[in-house]
Amino acid sequence: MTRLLVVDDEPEICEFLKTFFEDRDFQVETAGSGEAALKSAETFCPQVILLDIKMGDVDGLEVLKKVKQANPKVKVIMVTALETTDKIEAAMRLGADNYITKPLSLEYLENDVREKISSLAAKP
Amino acid sequence: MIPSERRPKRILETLLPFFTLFVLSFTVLSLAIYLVDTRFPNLVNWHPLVWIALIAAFTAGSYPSIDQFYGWLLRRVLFPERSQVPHFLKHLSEEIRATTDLSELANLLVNSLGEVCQFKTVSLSAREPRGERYVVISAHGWNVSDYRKVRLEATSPLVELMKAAQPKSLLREKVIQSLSWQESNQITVHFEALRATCVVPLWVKSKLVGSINLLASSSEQALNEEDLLMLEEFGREVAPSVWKALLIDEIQKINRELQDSRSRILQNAKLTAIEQLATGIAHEIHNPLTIISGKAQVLLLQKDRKIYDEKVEEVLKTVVKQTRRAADITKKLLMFSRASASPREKLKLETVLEDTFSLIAYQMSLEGVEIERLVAQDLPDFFGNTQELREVFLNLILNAVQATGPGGRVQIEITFHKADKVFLLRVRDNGPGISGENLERIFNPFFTTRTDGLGLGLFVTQQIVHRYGGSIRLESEPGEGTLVVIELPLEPEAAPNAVSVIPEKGGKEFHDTASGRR
Repeated sequence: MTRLLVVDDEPEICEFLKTFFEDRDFQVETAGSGEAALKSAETFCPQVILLDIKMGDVDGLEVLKKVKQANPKVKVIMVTALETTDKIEAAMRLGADNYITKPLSLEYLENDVREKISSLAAKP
Repeated sequence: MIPSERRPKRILETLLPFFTLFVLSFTVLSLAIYLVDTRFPNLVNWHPLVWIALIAAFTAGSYPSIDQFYGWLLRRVLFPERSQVPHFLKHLSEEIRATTDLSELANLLVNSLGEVCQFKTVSLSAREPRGERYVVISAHGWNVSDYRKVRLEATSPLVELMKAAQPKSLLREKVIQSLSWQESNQITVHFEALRATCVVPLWVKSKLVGSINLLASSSEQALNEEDLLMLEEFGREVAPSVWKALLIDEIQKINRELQDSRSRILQNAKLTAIEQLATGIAHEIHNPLTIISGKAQVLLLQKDRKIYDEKVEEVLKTVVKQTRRAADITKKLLMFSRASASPREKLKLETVLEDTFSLIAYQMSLEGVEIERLVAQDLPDFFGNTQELREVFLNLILNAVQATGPGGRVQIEITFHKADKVFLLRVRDNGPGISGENLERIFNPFFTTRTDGLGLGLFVTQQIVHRYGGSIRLESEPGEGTLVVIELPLEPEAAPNAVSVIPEKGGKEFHDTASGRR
């Protein structure tokens, strides 16, 4: 089962994403802050992380940098409310694997997550 | 510099001295014969050739003074034509003093001097009020494109010489004689650049504000001391008017620049305000919208779900669709703000058009609108952002389609104008057209004639086009359909904060083609 970590400071967003992906046989954990996300990344060892770019305590970019440092193989998809290119560009430079803008299209998101997993399987 | 000399005077000038000489010689000869006959009879025996030689010597000796005498008599007493020139110059300087428009004044000066005094070329060079250079602003006898390029630096030897000779004018021949070979070569270059043999300076107090540069049509027309004095006097009279017109012209220029920058600042301030607002709204609103739409999608996409009531399913779909529409508002507002300056790359406009088209082809087929695409062969690559350009095409096509309604015709044309290096995008529809009143407001944000539209489509389109240094215009008459023409330069200006291209794997976004766009 694929382990997916959802990081967003909006609990409702975490909740519906958890419901959606669990319905599709993913093992999902959620984190409401950057702090929690880093902890979860360590203990839960997710294969894919959905990471909100802007959060209260720790910036999404900061989390991205740390999780990629700890485990370069983890796939990170950035979630952003705004397509401000400087942030997205910075995220891509830091090794993010893709980005998606809010409001989310769940069908597109699911396809993207599955694509990342199959690329993981292809290059172990 | 005399205006054309009249024929009768020339004839008189030639004939009178001869006639006088003839009379004089005859008198002298008669007198001599008489004297010789009465007093010195022994001299009568002189050889006739001696007499002839004597008379010839007398004639030759007295000719120049007689000729000079008649010259003076004709020019000064009988036909005082020279007085016409000072009169004309006085009249011209009065006229010039009454003129404040620089180009009008300059043209009047060079053309009047050129035509009346028949100089080969006359030009007026003037000091740049905000600079030190002297620029030819108008000329008689040369091409406009030629004289526009002629500039003298404040440090150029000719300008220095004019300053040294204040307030006298400079004659090329005299100047060259007084200089070393090398210096005279330099000066000749400058005289030739001005196409002049004589330069009359224009002084306002101790400031050299310009010069009148003259080239005589022939060597006969060479200027004498008197002419120069007259021209210098003319220069003194018109110099303050030339300087005044220069200053007025400069003030007008500065005023225009000021107005331009003021409207730019206002525009920027407006944009920054909208940008901040949009950024704030996007952050605050996109999260709740994500939740609303997300939960509806979870229900719609649930596996092994029970079949919903048709009405419930319809409501859920509407929720998803309408949240996207709401998000579209902030996205569009951000489209033109600097925060969203988009990465650019080499692309093909025709490909962007095809992509856009495939996005909406299905909807178009439902609307029953016939769309014709005319794309020129071998279009060069364009350096732009696919998303932005897609937005432009999408807005234009949807506007046209919505204007024509079912059964309408829309024509999209992309051509490239080689000479101007400009892409031309034309979108033509056969819809009801736009009234003049609405046409004026069509690019205003939130202006719309539809109940379901946001009124941001054309506004955003215009912003994007401007960001590429291009232009957009609408031509429409009620009942005649509408034509939108966009010009995009091949080498667009750099976008503010334009960033380099991000990897191709970038995310995708939804295009809610149903949302209103004009």
